[in-house]
Amino acid sequence: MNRELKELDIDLIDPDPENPRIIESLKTFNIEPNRENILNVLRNAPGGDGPGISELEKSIIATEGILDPIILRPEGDRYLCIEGNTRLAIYNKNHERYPDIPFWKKIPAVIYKDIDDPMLEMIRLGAHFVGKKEWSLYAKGAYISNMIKNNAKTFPEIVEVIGGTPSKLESLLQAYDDFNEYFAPLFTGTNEAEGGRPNEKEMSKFVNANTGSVSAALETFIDENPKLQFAKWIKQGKIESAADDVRKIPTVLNNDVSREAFLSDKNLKIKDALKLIPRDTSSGSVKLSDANISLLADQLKLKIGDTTIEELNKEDSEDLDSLLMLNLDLNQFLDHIDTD
Amino acid sequence: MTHVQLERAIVKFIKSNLIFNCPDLYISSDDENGNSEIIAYINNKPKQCRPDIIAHNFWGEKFQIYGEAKSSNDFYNNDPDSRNRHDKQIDVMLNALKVKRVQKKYLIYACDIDLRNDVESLINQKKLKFDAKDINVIIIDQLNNPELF
Repeated sequence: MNRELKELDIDLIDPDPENPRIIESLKTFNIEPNRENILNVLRNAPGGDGPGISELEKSIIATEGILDPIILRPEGDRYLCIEGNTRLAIYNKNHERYPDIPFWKKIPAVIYKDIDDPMLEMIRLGAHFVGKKEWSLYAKGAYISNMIKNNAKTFPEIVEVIGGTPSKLESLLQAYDDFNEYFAPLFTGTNEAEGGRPNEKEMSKFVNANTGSVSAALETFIDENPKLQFAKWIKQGKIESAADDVRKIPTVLNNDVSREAFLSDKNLKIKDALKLIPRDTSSGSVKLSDANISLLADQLKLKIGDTTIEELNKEDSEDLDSLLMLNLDLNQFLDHIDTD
Repeated sequence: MTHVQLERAIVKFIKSNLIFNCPDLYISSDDENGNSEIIAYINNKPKQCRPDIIAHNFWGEKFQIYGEAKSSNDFYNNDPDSRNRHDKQIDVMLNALKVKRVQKKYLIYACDIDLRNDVESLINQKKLKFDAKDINVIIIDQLNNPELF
């Protein structure tokens, strides 16, 4: 395949009017697919940079350019952007804003000279469906932790490069630290007789344990070294699922009966401890419409605790939609009470 | 001073303070990043609030910081709901800090200088009430000092 890598003037590059991110918007709003309009629509498409500075844009600035060149096909004396249209839109926006800064005028690109339509589709599929293989959570945590410890980068500098909110990176780094400080030392050898090896996939449980409600419950109800205790529960098999079991911890620990049983019986799994919480409390035969909010909320919490993510995600389940709607209503309602 | 100015002053204070100067400093402001709620159990009931600033480190002698900006408009608002919110915010932040297993805990308030005494007195009363002796309280009130902020 005849291809060439070069830095190209962005004024010579046209965005792809067939780009799946924007094709529907162009049709729906009957927008003429010229260069300017397509670039504008790209900025506002999901994953685009919108009116402010996007995560991708911050990352481009932090790394002093894009890491992967965009992919182009020559079209007469101009070029069509096959892959990397959002990056092109970001360069174009900044070039308009800061015409005197050379940084935004040229973009690294690979030009495929003899590319036919079937190959063009293969490149698009490869870029958007396969992409690069993402590192595991553990590998990401290890890499970031080492960078900071070796004084290569500070935490805020890494946030700048990766983009997103600092809390995403915080949760990853904290989970990696907890895994190594509390979980890994519980395993003394490499075979089963010596305790086996810590499974790196368990790190996702430590990520979920650092969410507000779970960490608050652990810190409040476990007197001695709550993170070590949590690590032991994982090794004992009491917490089986990162998604379903970890989120049950606050409910179980906040009830005297289930907490006592869960903490004293090393074989009792969290999902079984949840079942020990009295279901009917004061409800008796109260009609749903007569039940107060507190009673309804308690029962809903138990019901959610009994439900798996898999069940909620079933196509014919209306429960997920109902929960999402409830979440929206609750957030809106509680915002008036809880925020400042 | 506006709420956002006060919030930014806390960020600047933390970033420029040698006590907190470390490569593993995590700092997040509600204004810039949208902080998540923190939860504390008060009398066994979970209560939550969203601090303006959350900061901590990961290694070595660990510290945890919650920061709150209070403009005069915020603080002297006579609306009872608003006053209850201030009360609850301080309760939640103090109780969340109280159970943290870290070596140093800080509650930082930024406010206009005329508020300082009232804010300090309110927080100290709450510290006594919750027996939260190990929490260090820092009040930033020198916001008009150009050498500092």
